Amino acid sequence: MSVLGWLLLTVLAALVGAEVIEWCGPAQRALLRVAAAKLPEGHKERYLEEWTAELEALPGGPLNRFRFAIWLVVGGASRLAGELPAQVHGRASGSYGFTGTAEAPKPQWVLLDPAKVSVLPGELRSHVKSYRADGHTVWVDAGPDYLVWNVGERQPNTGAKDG
Amino acid sequence: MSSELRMTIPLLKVLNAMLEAPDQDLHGFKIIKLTGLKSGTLYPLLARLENAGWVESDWEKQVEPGRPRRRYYRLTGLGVEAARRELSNLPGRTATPARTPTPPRPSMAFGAVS
Repeated sequence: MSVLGWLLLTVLAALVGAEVIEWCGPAQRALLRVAAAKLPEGHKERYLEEWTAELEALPGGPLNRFRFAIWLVVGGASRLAGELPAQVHGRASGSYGFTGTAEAPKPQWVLLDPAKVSVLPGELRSHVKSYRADGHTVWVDAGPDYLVWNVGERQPNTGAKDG
Repeated sequence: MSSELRMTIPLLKVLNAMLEAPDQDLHGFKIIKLTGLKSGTLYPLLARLENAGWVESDWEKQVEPGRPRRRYYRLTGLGVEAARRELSNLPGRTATPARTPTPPRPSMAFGAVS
């Protein structure tokens, strides 16, 4: 190959390399979005933000970042989704709680301390079997036997609000 | 709840890393570096530990403009206690020396209404 040929090849390789590097960032972020899409509602944004921050702070080159993102896409996000409770998000003051479904013999209300807990204003509907509060968010574990909504409105236990 | 946690080698690695850096809030990549775990392994473990109340997390307070917030993880008082116990159960392993545990989470008030 002539000198001119090598020169052209070098320039072409440099251009392709620059193009690939240009696409790395968006591709990595797209992978994170794919991973976050596998998570339950209420967790997607948190983890997307967390992972994006980690991705941007990762040392090393694009390959290291791809590795971080790919491991989340390949199984990591699905496993994480299995660990996550459904999250009730939003903030409001007042008393909230949950009640049993029609299968439960008695409606049962459990009050959260409004001084310590904030939950979604308006109607809350989710499957609940237990929850814990970290002072900011009420975490609701998914379960087939309970519904949850705003106790402030004291809705009757119709058992028809499933879903 | 803690008894529901199945101890695995990766989980013990995370507990060990967090126990050995008790005064540090660790973000995800830092824990990855300390444990050698993959990102896809770490985050499910952290979620499991959070669900068990062994670990708590919070967003970083001061963020440089234009940069997304990092999430920091730390062992709770319960987590420190449990991690020490689990790690000391390992053959040939002595638990990390005691430290002042983090204050417990605020408890919720329960009461039957109707």
